[in-house]
This record gives sequence, structure tokens and C-alpha cells, in this order.
Amino acid sequence: MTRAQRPRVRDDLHVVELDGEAVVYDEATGDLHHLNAVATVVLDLCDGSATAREVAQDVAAAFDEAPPDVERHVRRCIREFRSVGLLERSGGDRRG
Amino acid sequence: MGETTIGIRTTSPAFGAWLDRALGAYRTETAADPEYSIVIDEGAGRGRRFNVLYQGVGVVSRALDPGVVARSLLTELEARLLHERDDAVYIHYGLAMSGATTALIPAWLVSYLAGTGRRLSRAGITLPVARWVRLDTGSGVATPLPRVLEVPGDVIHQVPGAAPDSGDAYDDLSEARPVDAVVTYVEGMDTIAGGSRSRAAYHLAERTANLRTLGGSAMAVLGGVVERAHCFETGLGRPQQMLAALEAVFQHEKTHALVEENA
Repeated sequence: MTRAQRPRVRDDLHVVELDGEAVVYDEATGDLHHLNAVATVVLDLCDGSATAREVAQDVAAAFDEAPPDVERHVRRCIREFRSVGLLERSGGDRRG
Repeated sequence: MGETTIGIRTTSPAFGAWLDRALGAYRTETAADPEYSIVIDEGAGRGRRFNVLYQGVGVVSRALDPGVVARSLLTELEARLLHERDDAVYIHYGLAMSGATTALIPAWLVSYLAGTGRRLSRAGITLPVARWVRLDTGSGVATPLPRVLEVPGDVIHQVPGAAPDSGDAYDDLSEARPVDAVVTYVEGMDTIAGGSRSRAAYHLAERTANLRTLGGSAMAVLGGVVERAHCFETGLGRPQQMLAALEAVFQHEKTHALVEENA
């Protein structure tokens, strides 16, 4: 059985939230990222406790949007976070 | 400076002699292509012309007073040493002023607006000599840049042909000032409008010389600055349009201050 991934944001990132959006500074790489409102909520929810589907459900509730549409956006967000190294590589990403 | 050799050239023998006095501690026999060029108006033609500091082919500073250009050059050289400092946050922006109101503007805009000449003065706007701003890590207010280069104490007052009463709309920050507005450039915008604080913080962070040195503490300072300031975005093109946009920013700030005062 495959265990669903539970994305977790690295806790060594510097995040400044302003008016619902965020600026993320990754000291390890020197990279800066600007997150819009939806991406900021997704980032906040990626704490290792929820699957991408569960995160999408929470985001849908927060923005009063239809869950299937949101899930696509949330998964894309999470893929983007992963590609730029904002998520931890271990822990929430185990498959069984 | 350090392990870097910087070539500087000028059209004026007198200014060249001043450079030798000012930067004598850094002179080297190692040759380098000129990175900075200073064109000095020595009065050969009719009327007054601007003195200009170039970095490569880009204008850094343009003023009737060669003293402004000299101070600008020293600041540009000192900026190369800012990335290692941890006493404040140093950003590659300029602090424009109109009376007591301040606005952070992109560094390139300082040189860009210098070409508007007397329109600046008529608009009541003062441009900074320095294209760098020092933000106090505790309060986030803008404070005067420290003198980092080893130059003879009074050399800045010995620039040949210096004319502080020439009418240039430049000034150095002489005391701590809070940042009232942050202006960032967004390509393609055809107006000026209130902008996102987070995008403003992102742009400031991108231009922070010592971000790697300070890390998260710099981010906290920048977050505080944009939280307290009004943030604007503009993408207008010609210098006169950019000046009009900056005038609108200062007018907004002054009106806002008046409203708060009377509330």
C-alpha cells in the first residue's frame, strides 16, 4: 500500500507574511520566493500532518472554492515548492 | 579594494588629481579596464553642462556640481564593502525626499530622474547622492551611510570646481528618517497604484547587499519597513512620467499625514 505524501516545509526557512502573501528566504541557497495568497495558505498547511488532498480541502474551505479545482492548484503548488527545495525530503515523503 | 582592482578614469586632469588624493590608500599599479568614468564640465562650451559619473555605459550620477558626482563615486565604491556588514541592512535603493517625507525608490530611478533637471527642484523633490540606504536593524528607519573608505578627512570638500549652490536637487541623508513610502517598478504598468507589501518586501530583499550576512534578521527589518510604509508600484516610462509618479507618491503621503494629524 502506498502511503500518501504529507508535505512538510523546512523549518530553517525565513518567512515574512504580509497581507496574506509571503516572502520566503532560503538561507541555504540564497533564493528568495514571493508567494501569492493561495500559495501562502498552502505553505502554512504543509506541516507534515496532511496529505495534498487534505491540504486542498482546507484551502477550498478557506477560499470558498470547489475542491476538485483547488486540488489541482494545490498539487501544482506543492510540486513547485518541492522543485525549489522548500519542502523536507524525508519524513512526510515515505512510500510503503 | 580588497582583492578587486577597479579602473576609474576622468576627462579632467584636476579631478584626476583629486582622485589620487582621495583614493591614494587604494591606488595600485595593477592595470584594470575603466569601470567608472567621470566626465567633468570644465566650462569650455557655452552655458553649464552636467558632470556625469558612468559605470560602464550606465549613468550613475548627473549633476551641475562636480562635488555631487565625487560623493556619488565614493558611495559606489563603499557599497562594494557592504555585503559583509552586520550593523544594519543595506539596500540598493535611493531615499528620495520632499520636505520631511521620504520614499524608497529603485537605485536606477535616482540616475534616471536626475535627467529631469529643474523639474525636480520645482516639484520640491530631493534625490539622494547615494544609491544605497542604510536601515537600522532595530527600528527600520533610514540612517546616514557610514564612511567606510579610508579617505583624508576633508578631501570631499576639496573637489575642484565644486558648486554646492548650483541648483542640483541632491542631498545626503544627515539624520535618521522613517521610511514613509516604498516605490517599486513593475514592467508594463501604465500607471502608479498602491502595491502589495509582500512584493515590495521581496523587491527590497532582492536588493539587499548583506542579506546573506544577516539572513532572517534582514527579512524581519524589511517586513517591518513595508508594514509601516505605503507601498506603490509603477511601470511608467519616460523620466517626466516617472517624476510625475513620484510627485503623486509624495502628495499622497502629505495628504495622508495631514488627515492623520487632524483626526
